[in-house]
Amino acid sequence: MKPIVISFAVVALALPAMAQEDFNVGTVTLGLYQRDVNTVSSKFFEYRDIPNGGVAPYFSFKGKKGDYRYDFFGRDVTQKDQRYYGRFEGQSWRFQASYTGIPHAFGNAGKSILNVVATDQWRMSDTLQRYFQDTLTANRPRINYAYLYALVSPTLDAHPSDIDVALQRDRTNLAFSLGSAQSDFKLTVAYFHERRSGGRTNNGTSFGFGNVIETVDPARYITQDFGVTGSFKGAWGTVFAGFNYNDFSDKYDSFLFENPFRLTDSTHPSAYTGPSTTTVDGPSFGRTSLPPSNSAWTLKGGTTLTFGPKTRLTADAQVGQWKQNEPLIPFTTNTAITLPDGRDATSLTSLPIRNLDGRIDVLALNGFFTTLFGDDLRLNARYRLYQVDNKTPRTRFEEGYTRFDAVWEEIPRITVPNGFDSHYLDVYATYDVGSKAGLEVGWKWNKIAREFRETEHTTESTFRVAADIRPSGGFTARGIYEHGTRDFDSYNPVEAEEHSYLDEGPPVNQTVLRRFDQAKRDRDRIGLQVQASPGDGKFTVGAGYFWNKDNYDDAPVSCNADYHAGDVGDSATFCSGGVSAPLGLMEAKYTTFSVDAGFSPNDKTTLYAFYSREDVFDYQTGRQSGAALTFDPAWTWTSQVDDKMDTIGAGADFTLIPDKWFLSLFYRYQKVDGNNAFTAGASARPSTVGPVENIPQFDDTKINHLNGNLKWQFTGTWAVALGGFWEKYVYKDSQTGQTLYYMPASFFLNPVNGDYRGWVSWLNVTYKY
Amino acid sequence: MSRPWRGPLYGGVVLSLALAVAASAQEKKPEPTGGDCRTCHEEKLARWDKTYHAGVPDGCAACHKGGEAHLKGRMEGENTPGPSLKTLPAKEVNAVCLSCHETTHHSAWTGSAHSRRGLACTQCHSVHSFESRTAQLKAAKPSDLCMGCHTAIRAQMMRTSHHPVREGLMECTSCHNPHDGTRPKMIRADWSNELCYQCHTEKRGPFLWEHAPVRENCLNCHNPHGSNHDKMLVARLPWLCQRCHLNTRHPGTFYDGRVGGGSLALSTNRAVEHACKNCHQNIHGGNAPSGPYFGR
Repeated sequence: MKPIVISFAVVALALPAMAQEDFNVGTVTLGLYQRDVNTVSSKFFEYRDIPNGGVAPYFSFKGKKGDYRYDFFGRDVTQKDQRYYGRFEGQSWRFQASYTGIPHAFGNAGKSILNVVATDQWRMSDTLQRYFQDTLTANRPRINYAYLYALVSPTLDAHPSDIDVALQRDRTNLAFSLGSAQSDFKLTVAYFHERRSGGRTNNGTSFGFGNVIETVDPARYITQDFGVTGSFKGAWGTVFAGFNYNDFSDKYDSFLFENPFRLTDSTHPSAYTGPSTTTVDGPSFGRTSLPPSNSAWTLKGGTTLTFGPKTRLTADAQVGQWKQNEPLIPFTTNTAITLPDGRDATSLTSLPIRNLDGRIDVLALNGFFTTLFGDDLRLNARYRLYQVDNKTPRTRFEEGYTRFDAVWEEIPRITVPNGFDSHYLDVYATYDVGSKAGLEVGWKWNKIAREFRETEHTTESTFRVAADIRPSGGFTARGIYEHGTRDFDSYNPVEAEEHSYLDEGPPVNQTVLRRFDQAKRDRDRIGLQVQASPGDGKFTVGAGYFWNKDNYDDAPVSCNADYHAGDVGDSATFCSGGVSAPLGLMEAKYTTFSVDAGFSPNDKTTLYAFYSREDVFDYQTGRQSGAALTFDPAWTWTSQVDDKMDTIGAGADFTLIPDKWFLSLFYRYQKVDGNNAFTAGASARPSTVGPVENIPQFDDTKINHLNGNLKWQFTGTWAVALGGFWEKYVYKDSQTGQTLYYMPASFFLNPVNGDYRGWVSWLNVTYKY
Repeated sequence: MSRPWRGPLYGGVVLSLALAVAASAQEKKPEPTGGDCRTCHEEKLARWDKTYHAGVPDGCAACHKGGEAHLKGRMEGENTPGPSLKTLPAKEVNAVCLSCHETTHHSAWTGSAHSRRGLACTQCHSVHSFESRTAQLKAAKPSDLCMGCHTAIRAQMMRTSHHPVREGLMECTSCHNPHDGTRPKMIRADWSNELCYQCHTEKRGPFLWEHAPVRENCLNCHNPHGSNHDKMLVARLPWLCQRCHLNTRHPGTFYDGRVGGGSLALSTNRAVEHACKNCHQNIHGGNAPSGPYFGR
């Protein structure tokens, strides 16, 4: 891509040789960067590339020659976060191209007991696996965390901390358009290509409760999109149509990871709890599926009809299909496991299907009508339908499946192709009181019908009122209030759970747990914003306050245990008294206050500052159960998350000497104080263990950033700038702050993406013509 | 493969050609389309001359109606105010712009949220004094403008887990069309998931084992504007998962601190690090026959 853009720049610059240029301007900036970061933390480079040494931060060429125009610019040339844009056009056509590199740095210096032998394979030497297997087999009664830690530590300590988890996106856009700004007919053909390579964290490859091996989720993706769009404009309005085909390709269909504690395959009824005093069985390696390649096509069309200057009708429709038909991987890698009828569970021939033949039909309809009565009263109505019709055939696993490649679970299952319809209607009226004020009242209605879920449909009705006040003197005030109520037709958690099972059985999930995306809910929202720029407008100030609260119905719910009355239990067994306090998300609140100020006493000075305060509050309840669901409130726990955020920013831009010296300064700071106030009932924790603590360090962060730039325009075409930035980031968290490479039942990579302190300085020289 | 010589080579070629052109090109001043306006407003037109607006028929008069009275008054020594759009209410300003620009992605402006809030095109765009590289915005980047009003989003974008907007690799307009009046939250798609799939295509599926709330709405679990939790989640694991899953045995049993003496720091792997995702990694949907719990 880069050579294409630069080649266009060369061609464009050669145009003067062909014809007279109307104008021709350009800027080139070259520089020297120096950086220093005090840790190996990847966070400093999360989304940026800052080299040490020579850089080309910016170039731009723009011109017009007769009927031709060109415009090219680029930033951070050759760096991982380089960006280029080019446009070359004539009177009735245009060609555009762009390239963007987006680095993602997730963590540095991770360590694994496995060896990265390939992108999709993490392995261990057979000798070592044999040693661990034999040692554990001979010492099974001694197995506990301390014993295992002593066993694996020598190997872990010998492994280097050299696993950097990072991903690079390289995306290219090309578009060719016919038609000018004044043309009635326009046609655009576009092509998009993106390559993603690298890996991501959070790849919890596991052999069960007793043996998690964190690895890197490999990504070798290519995404391509081809689209054609045409539009026609007339006195009556516009009409458009388009088609897109999108293809996602994943180079790897699965990821292989070895079991440090097994060289040979074995199985046991509770092999997924190994290694433990109960069992040291399990597979020698596991395989997990990676995102399958898929494709999608979309056909769309629509129109905006103009009925005079006051009325518009917009309607559009989109149909599409998403498909996926990749070969499946076998049930398991474990050669010791067979299906109940004796078939080899590692063989593809034992699968009920070899490919998914997955397809989802998508339909979107949008309609919008607006008309003005007189000069001030506008009526509006909007309707949307979005339909996801999952037509993927349901697959029956009559014999069951394997659990973590460790043991066969003789639990017949069936896949559940979820889909839904969303109907949305919004009608509202706006009234302008001259040019000084505006009022809006409206009502929204949203019905979502779902397949295979706890509710058949939910319906939400929301009323709103909003007002704008715009008296003279540069003052504006806006306010909005919304109140919405969501309800469902009926709530059947047991039936929903059973959709994925072929045999009936007792529910395994709390029947009094209401899913927050379907639960009854009251939603209230208040927003207030004022902005003032009195007098000559040199001083501006603004303030905003927003309060959002979701209150989930906390009325008692039926235990819904009689779904299989007589078969698997009844209310007396599952829920004495017939009702129980609900569980789940009870309340979610978000409150924010902000204030902004700006002052420009003259054309040489601009000062600005802002402050925001946010408060995120979530209250939810849950309950622990043993082998069977319990409704005993003594097992209930509660979590109150209360995160408070303070954000400050300030800056100043000075023209020290007009057309000569310029200084800009900027500072920002954010502190997030996360808290999770936790309580657990007496039965939720063994008395020998003690209470579960509150969690004061709950994703706490602090970031300071200060930058400045001093520029000297020493001639009309040359300038030099000296600048830099300093940044400090602090992260504290109880759940991740004390992670070891080997913790109870888990090998963690522990890549470093925490605290850092760094600074960057630069010297840039700019030539402009 | 790293080719460090490419950048300097390309840069050197381009710079050389640019300098050659600058030295040899005869910059031809465009024929003034500002008419008599240029006599007093040359500075205002300097940047405008290089834009598409300079080629609009009628020049300044295409947008500034009533300039004749201003010109006549000035010539007679009177301080007749000019036809500035700054003195017009938003509706009238927008009518001027929409007389040409009510096409393609501006066609649904009328009745849109920004329109209803009384925003004028000139609050974000400038024909004469723009700062951005494209779209003639009053700020260098679209996000600088958006966050002037959307201050809560500004604060969310500064959180530790965020899309690369403040790094300049994405913009608010990567996901939103601020002129649109038809799509929810003015996103550039008919549904939130379709928007997310434009970049996160591996999540589109369909999958053998679907995760229902994922299929319905990515926003059930993620806040795309930023979060202090990993992966822009609206809540920390395991509590996010426990809003829907309180099955027998685990996922609720890790609060007893059975391993590690009651301290979450050394507790079972269901609470620390990636919590539920330590085992259930294919949480967006999986294609493994043995993956009904997204662990394969």
